[in-house]
Amino acid sequence: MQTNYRCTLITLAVLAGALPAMPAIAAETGTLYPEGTIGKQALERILPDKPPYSPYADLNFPARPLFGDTHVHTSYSLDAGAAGARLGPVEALRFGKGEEVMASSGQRVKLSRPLDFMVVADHSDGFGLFPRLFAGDRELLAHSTVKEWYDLMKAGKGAEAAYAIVNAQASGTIPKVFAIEGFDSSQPGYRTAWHEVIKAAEEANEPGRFTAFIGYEWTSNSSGDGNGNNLHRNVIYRDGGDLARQVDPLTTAQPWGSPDPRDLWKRMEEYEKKTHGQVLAIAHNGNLSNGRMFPIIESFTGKKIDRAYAETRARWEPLIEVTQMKGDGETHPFLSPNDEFADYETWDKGNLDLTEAKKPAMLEFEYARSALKNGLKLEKELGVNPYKFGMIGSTDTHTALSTADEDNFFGKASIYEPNATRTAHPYMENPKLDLKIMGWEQTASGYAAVWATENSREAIFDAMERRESYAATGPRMIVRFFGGWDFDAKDANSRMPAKAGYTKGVPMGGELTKASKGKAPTFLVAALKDPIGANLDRYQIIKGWMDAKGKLHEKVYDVAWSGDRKPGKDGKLPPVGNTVDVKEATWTNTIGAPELITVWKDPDFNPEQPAFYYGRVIEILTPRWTAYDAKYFNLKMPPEVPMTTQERAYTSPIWYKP
Amino acid sequence: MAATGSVGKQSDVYPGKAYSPYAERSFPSQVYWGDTHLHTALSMDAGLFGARLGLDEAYRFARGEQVMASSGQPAKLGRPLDWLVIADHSDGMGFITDLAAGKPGIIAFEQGKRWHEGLQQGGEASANAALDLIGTFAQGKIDPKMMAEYSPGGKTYSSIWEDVVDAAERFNDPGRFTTLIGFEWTSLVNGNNLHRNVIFRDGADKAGRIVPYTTQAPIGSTDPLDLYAWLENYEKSTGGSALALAHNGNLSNGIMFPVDAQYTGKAIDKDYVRLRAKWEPMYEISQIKGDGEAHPFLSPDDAFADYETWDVGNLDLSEIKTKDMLQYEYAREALKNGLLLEQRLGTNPYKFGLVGSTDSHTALAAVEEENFFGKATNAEPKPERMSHPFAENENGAFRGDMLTASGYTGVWAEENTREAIYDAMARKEVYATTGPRIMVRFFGGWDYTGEDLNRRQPAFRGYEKGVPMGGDLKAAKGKKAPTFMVYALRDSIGANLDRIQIVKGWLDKDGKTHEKVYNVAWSGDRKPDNNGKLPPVGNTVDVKNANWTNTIGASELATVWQDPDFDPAESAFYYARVLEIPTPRWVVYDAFRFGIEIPKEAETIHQERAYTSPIWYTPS
Repeated sequence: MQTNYRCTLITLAVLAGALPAMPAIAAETGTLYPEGTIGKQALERILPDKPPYSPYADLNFPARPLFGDTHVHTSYSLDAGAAGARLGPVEALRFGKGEEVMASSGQRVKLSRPLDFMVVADHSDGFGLFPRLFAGDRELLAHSTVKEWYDLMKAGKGAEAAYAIVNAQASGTIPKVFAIEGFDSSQPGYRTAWHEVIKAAEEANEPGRFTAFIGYEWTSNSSGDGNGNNLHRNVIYRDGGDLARQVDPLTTAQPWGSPDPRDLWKRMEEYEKKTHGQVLAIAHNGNLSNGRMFPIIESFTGKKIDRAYAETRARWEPLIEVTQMKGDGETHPFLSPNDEFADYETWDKGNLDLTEAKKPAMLEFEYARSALKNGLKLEKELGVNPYKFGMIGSTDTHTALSTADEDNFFGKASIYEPNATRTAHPYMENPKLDLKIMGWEQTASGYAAVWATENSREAIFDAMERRESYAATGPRMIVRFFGGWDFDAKDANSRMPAKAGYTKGVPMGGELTKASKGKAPTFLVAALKDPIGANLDRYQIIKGWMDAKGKLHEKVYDVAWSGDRKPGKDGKLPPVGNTVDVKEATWTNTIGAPELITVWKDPDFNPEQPAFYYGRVIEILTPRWTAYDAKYFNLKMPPEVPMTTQERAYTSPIWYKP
Repeated sequence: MAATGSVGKQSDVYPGKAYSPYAERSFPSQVYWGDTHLHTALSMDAGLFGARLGLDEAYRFARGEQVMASSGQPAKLGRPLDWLVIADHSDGMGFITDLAAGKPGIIAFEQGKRWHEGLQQGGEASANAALDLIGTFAQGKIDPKMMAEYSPGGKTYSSIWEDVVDAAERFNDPGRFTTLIGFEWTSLVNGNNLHRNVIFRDGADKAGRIVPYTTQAPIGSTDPLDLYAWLENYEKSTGGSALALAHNGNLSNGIMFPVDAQYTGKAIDKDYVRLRAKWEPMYEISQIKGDGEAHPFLSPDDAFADYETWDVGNLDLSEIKTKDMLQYEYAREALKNGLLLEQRLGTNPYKFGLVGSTDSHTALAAVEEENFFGKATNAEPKPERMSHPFAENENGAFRGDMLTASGYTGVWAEENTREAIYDAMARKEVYATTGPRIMVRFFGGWDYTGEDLNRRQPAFRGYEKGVPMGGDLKAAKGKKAPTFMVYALRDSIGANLDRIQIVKGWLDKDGKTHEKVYNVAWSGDRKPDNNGKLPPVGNTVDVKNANWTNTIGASELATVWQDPDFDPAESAFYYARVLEIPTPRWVVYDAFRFGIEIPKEAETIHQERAYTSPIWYTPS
């Protein structure tokens, strides 16, 4: 009996595997074989509705998020090299895989846990120039300014050299030889460097274990109406070197390159046409763009953006890097005065090089939340939403070390690798305008979490394209966010909410349409703390919407939280508490919750109004990296230096379209 | 550095340790999870119960791939394991797979032909063939010529072992997934379990030069002393390293951890204790056939002692269990008796570390409660499995619902390689869990203070000021009592923690052994009563929906504890037991998914746990 039973099952299972498309066919035609050799009942037996017993088998959705960094600079970036980076792409990738390396500052460093993927994204401008400059390349040193930089570096003034180079780049006063060698990506020297970076990615790429993407940063600092305004994008390839080598990266200086994003999109289009490969671009640091990152009026034309702009941007830029070492870009307290968590690692003194001070009117065009809102408006006007982006975090490190953990922060550049003066040293200053960003303002953030079906270039890239990703400011929280019309409390009464999530709704990055009459969208949300990190304070849903008059609104809802706190009359939840011992740079997980799960229904839904929803998961308070520095170096920090932080994750939104 | 100056040479400004808390560690930072005890279709009984998956499938499944189970349903682990020991029974290894395949060397014999044809027919004929085979084998009436090929000395046996070694070599992927070559030496004395698994540190170059040791005379033996001699010879002749570990003392009917005499009648002497201590550094304390830490009869004051208890009889239920047997079956009692024997004979034979493993006969190391694939293929998920007994006769039954979805082994190794994992086993820096991947640190020393715990990385102070699990505390002059630093982090996707306990066993001046369980860290603001008993943590299990919530318990627990009852003249051991909050047992998931009733006698809720290897204190 038993053997028979087993054989039957095996036979059926083999059949089932061979006929994956049958149910759809059967549903359309009634019966597959009118003669009745295989009827509906037989098919039901072969392909039972019931999922397999093993809850982890046959999952047709991503089962775990992959953590990575889409934005790592190495010594191949001019500014990184000038600021002391000696580690190249090979070392950056080794470090990402979890190996211990010697940092440029001569100290050993290792990640707490390996990353799953990485994009070495060195600046296309001046690609690999630094290794040449540092080696004293005679062609380059023939120019007096280049020689000056070289001498500065040799005299141990790497930071000054870096500052001078960045400034020259921002102000368009780069020496000609430097310019040609650095901006003309078809020059043999340039290509050699680019191909070296490709080679490093090819060699480090290990499908199933660690994905190394080919990529670069297109570093536009000229917005057409001014300089020093950050319009940077990272370009990421789905493909291998065989395709990526066929088209040179775009730089930003004319006549070889262009600072206009439209030209970047053109280059991406050319690439795809020529190679049949795929690329995408991710913008970052809208906070340093002085109002140019998410425009309604395009800075290059002075005109309102058109449908072509919206379409092209939406096509090429499915994600933004919402948090990184140069500050957090979710929202700004000026834009979101009712959001007590809005003022998080805010960098709002000016543009990238502090040549222009920030004005409040710029902020709307810099932060993710306001851009998502403006996107709704632009969609109504243009028919396309240019700002329908998902979220990721990344480091933008210039040390080749992707460190976003507070207890292991190796700074923005090698001169800010752990040392006793890094917090007190200005990161950037402009005495003329009396603007200064201090070293302690660097943010130990962030990582990209991607819900991919496997760890490969293709799967991660495809998940990025469908925006199934979230940003974390460092901790590796696991965050689920599903939207649908029929989630109920029972769906949260499970250790595997994703099964209900994918069956009854769409994941982060998706879209809800066709509201049935009288129904409001429901969201199944779940978050699990970083296994070795801090407990969670709360899970919030942020809603943005446009009313009938075209006015934009936002609201933050607390939907799940730890303990038995009760929201006050103003709807605000009391703070979770604080266990941080700043002196010892430690905390305890005696408050907060290790996981949060709930189903939430929008109580204010209006089916006529377009909207978006995204999740924000907030940890309990933990020591900021400055507290670890204070303890390690035995420092007394000035009172303005924050010593605690509430780290967080931002999910990609789910949009509702009437 | 020198080139840019401003970057500076940081070693000058650094006070000792690296800034990066993960760099320059000289101790194990990570737990590697694995199973020391997995059977595939190559094991005779596994094959007979329907296992069709072999070595490759076992490794693929363990490293996280989806496979089709022998029962025709897809199976996948929640998370990959880091390492695996396939330990098929050495007796008749590969016979059953060849029988099913109808290899010429088998159907040339009358028995072989008959059984093969029976298996081919399926249905009742197949079952009868299997039963006939088992009976014939048990009576020792298998055609010796046919079996000779499947015993050491036979060419076929050598080639089967070559396959075993070859599969291990092919799947061994240092840094990612380690395969340790091994086998089970399945000594069964009148139905009493004396089984040992043998694990090699080595690869094909050494382990490929031998074939496994068996129990069938004249080549093999059921006497552990002969196994030790074989191990000795292996190391001598190959220059390799191997160790052995026992399991299922609970089914040995009083002969697993003898104190006075071996089962052969020979006295426990200096040789025995020395050899056992030398070759058996670990014990498999928890597995599918029950948990073997403690028994409520032996530990009446321990509220958590009665966990997944299998105490009806011996392995084949040919003999009923009597209470006097228990003291020679359970780990805690053996650890205590070890102190006694050490005093008597100079060596502690039962100075073992603790591991958990599956002993699965499905080639699937699947012991997550929500993903349990049973003891053998006939107990892979199906509605009848919880009501179908594992074994039953006039002496009683091991009911189907008693199968224990347990366990795994956590190894504190410096890297995921054969050498590093084996060496950690040899030094007992390992611990057992009943399935969940709870991370547990346990250190003993004389000077731990609360301040040492005031950090997220207790291991730095742990290793600096004391010894890790599996270690020895030497008497220290001028020190009052030993201190223990213990730290537990819940399984990241599992249940919160209820409490950490430290279990102490000791030998008094009169040669009497004692034990005591101390609650040392717990969740919430519960207060122990005057007897030190802590109120229960509560229960959130929703049996109907097969779920629970982590709204009680703690995500992590840590403390430094000093023994309040320490006497420096008394030898002692200490180990930590970490308890989860209540969660559903596997039967609850079965009932939920199959829409069936759970038998009344079945346990539905339990508290999974981790047992660390002990730290021993020996007076000077």
